[in-house]
Amino acid sequence: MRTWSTSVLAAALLGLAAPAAETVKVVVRTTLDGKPVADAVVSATPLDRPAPPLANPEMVEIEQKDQEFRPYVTAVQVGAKINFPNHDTVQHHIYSLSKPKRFEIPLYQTGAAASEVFDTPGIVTIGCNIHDWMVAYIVVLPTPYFAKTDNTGAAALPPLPPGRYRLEVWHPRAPAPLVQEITSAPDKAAVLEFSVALKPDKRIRRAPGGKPTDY
Amino acid sequence: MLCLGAQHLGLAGPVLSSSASASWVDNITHSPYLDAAYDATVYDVNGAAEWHNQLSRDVSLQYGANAGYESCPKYDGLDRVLAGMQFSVRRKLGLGPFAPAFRAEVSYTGSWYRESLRNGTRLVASCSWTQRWNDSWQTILAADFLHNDGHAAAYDYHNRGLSLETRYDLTERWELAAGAGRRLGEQITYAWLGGSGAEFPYAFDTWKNTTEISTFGKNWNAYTIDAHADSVWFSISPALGGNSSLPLRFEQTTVVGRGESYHTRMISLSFVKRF
Repeated sequence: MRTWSTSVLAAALLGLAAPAAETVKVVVRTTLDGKPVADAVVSATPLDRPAPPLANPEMVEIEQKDQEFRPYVTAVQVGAKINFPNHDTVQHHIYSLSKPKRFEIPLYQTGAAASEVFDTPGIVTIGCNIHDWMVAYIVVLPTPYFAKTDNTGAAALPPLPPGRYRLEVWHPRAPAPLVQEITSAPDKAAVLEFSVALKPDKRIRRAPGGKPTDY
Repeated sequence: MLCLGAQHLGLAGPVLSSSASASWVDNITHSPYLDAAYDATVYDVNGAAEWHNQLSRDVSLQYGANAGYESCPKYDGLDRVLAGMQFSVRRKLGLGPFAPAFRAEVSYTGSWYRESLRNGTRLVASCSWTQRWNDSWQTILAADFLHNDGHAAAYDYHNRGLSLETRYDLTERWELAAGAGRRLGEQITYAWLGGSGAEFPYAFDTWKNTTEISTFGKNWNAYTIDAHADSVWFSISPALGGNSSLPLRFEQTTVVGRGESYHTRMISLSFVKRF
């Protein structure tokens, strides 16, 4: 897959082998013009041992505000519970037709909220059955080691215990996720830089259209 | 189902919207005769409030009210204030943006013109079927029945229509739309009897509900004819953010009936804002 390409800035630090680090920072930019890519989910799944289970689960929230989902991309570990509050003055009806989690939640009252547990890894696309333009993504991961890129395109993974990991970077507009094996070693730090050719941001139009006149 | 829905009624706030348009019409007199086909520009502003109440997974109710003002500086008899209400039931057959949706709607609008002969109410009962084929393509098939109840006889008329419109979103910002429709039944038109070329005996045999009006000057009559009106339209609509747009629309209508035919062409530029 040539759509993604990677360069390891820390190669000099880490030698010719795959980068190894206790802390890994990832920067994602567009192939075309090098602009930072926000909302990319970076995850590291241990290959030498099972990933630690979800510990002290915090309630994650995806709100409906101004007839949009916020945030646009959410990453959670398997088993996490996500709360969906309606902070709008209009009704919403959340649904997912994605294989890892099919559900629908009618949120017909302002302030109403409901939650769902996400227990299968994968990408879950959610929408609103009343407002077709509303869309958001939930990345359900089998590992606690993940982060989402910010507006500078950067994401810092939680400290990785030594060992081999499957590093994956996912973005809604990327044709496919990038997968790379890395090795983490104690007291090391690495910065990994990825470039990605993003597909156009094709969403259902939200703006109202015109109406005919009487003449 | 209705009981389930009733407990939700009134809980969601209204969606407010407004629009302002400038429309140029080449034959606002709807005249078959070139020397009596007058052009004019009409300006209008409208505001609307709509409530949406989902009754169940598939069925929702929408109801609202709107008010507006139209001004035609060239023929100020056409200036009017209007106010109306709408009620619709929408059924979406499934989940997601690609599920087809069926809507039945009734609207009732009152108009108060500067030329009071034109005052009246309009009842429109319509149904539509909307299908989105992918993120870009959408098709809307609609049928309606219109009854205009006017103060003067010429403004009492009814007709029915069928239309098909397809919309294509070039990007999230730019939308193209094209459509065609046919209306069958009574159409209102006007004749200048001071030299329009109309032959009076023939005309009064075929025209219905002739009413003398002063909108366009002296010797003008409004009347209805049984006809069909074929329309085609095209619009391009750039979005100005997520809640507003600036649609530019071109529409041409050809009315044919009872030995008469005329064309109208309209270009309108609107600003539409949803709050």
